[in-house]
Amino acid sequence: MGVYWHLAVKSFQKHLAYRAANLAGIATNAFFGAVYVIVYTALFSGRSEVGGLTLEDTITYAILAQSLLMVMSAFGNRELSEAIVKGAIAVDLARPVDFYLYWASIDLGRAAYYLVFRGLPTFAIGALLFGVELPPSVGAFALFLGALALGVVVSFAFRFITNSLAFWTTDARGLLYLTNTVIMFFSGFIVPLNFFPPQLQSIANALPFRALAQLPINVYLGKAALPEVLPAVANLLVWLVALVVIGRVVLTRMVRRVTLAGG
Amino acid sequence: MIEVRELRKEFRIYRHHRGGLGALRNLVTREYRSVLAVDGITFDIKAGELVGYLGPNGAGKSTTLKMLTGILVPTSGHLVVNGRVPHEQRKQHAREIGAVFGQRTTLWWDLPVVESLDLLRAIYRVPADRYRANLALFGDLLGLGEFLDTPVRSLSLGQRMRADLAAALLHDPALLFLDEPTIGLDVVAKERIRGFIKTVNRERGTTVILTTHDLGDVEKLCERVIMIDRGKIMFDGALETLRRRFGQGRVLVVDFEQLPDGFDFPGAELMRAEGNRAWLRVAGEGTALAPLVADLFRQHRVLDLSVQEPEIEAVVRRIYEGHLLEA
Ligand SMILES: Nc1ncnc2c1ncn2[C@@H]1O[C@H](COP(=O)(O)OP(=O)(O)OP(=O)(O)O)[C@@H](O)[C@H]1O
Ligand SMILES: [Mg+2]
Repeated sequence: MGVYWHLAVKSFQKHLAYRAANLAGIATNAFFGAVYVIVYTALFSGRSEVGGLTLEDTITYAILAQSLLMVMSAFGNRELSEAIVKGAIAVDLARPVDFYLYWASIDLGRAAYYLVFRGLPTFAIGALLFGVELPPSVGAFALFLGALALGVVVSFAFRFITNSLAFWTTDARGLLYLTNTVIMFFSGFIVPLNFFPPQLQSIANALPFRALAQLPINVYLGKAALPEVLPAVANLLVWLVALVVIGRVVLTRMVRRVTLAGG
Repeated sequence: MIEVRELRKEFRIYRHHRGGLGALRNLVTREYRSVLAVDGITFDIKAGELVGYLGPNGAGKSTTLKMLTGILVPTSGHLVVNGRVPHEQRKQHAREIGAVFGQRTTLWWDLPVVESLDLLRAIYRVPADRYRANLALFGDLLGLGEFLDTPVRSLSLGQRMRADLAAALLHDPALLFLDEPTIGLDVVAKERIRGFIKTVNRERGTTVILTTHDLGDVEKLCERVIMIDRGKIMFDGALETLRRRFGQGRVLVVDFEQLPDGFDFPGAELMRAEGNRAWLRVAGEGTALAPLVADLFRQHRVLDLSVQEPEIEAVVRRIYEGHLLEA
């Protein structure tokens, strides 16, 4: 286990090197947060609630969503697909590690970095500019952290599969654009799923992507307390197991192909 | 230590159709042509040997090394390294070998060298004292100290190669595979790396196989050479044998007071002359030089004389060009 912990820590440290890029990223996330806040404020104009969210809830939602974008790797993570495309995976094969856990650890380190150095500052800026709500209780906050962790893992498990497709087709980029759009939409990053019409909401609820934004943010806002959250978590855990199993099958095939056909 | 019998590796290169319809065709049809990268090679390498694995571009050197390290599965043949079939127990095998592929780094691009090494320590579960001892030793021999804190991406090629070498040996592997470890390095860096490889081989008994296009590496390091071309072994034996068998003999460079016209010397053939200097090829391995030189002195006024051994460079060039092997 020590190895994987090490990998996560090193991955975290690795991102520390890109300070300027991160500052620009914070500015971008904060900017889009501000745009959302302005638009929502105009849209709410006098209405006290939409889809169970007040304007204050929605502002907090928007700022939190911007803060979590990079944590959840909503735009995808090029590291893996690049590693595969460049054939680095062949070199990695010469290492005595479990590659699924290897990449998972690297991704967790990345997520932790973005939580601290992207999410927190973005959230702080949003809070200063527009004011945000705090979780209703310590319990809700703890549950929020748990939901975040689940989201990060689900996100990895899904992206591992889609990124791996770069291995079989040289045109994987188109596919990745497509899946990223689906993820953005059904995670609740673009618009809170609370605002979706019921049919669309039930589709979103059947998919795993709400783990990335909708679920943790609603837990944060106290819109989903433990009893309501449990079925969602159960559903997501089933998804997670399925995604991990598929991911491992894909990896096995990938390794088989690298070792048969060369990098 | 390494046992290779009739080892073959065939690559299939699938025909790739472009575009949307092409993608469909790629799924349905499986047209391919085969490349026999390694074509039935057989050799043994004993523990502690330092073997140069030579051959022109595309000969199958890297492919062989990848099979030996377990990252490629052979198409057929028998392969046992260190008591294991490498690809069948890839992870376990990886623990016991070290590998450097000169063209690519195995270090983490964004991490400082020392962090990369630390990560490898965890991956290979290197005991703390071994890690410290190795780091100190490699630091000395390879001069790692000056760039330990530099991210790998900012290293010069020579520094990167030194770091990669250190990384490959951190866990005290019994076997070291080096694929072009001196590629693109300057003379000083090459010397340093050669010295290091030699030390590791001598003092730790690490078995080393190295591919290279730099025959300086071979001359400095390898007693044994395996030469491969188009997937087949062309020569396997001592470097000296290679030199003798394929060299065109030694060359006497003689400065005469006055270049004799009409040159007839049994055992030596005039290659060329320039001013009063003549290059004489001494044919055959058996010819003793002393009587020949004595004759020369007796018959002519010689001012200076030197002997050139056949250069390995020239020897290998001739083999690559296929002059001797076809015969
Ligand atoms: N993954 C692959 N797929 C298809 N063909 C390959 C693959 N890897 C190598 N080959 C082919 O196999 C042959 C041997 O390649 P290899 O890389 O082993 O040569 P090499 O001796 O290492 O050459 P070099 O000195 O240029 O590094 C070449 O013809 C090469 O094109
Ligand atoms: Mg090669």
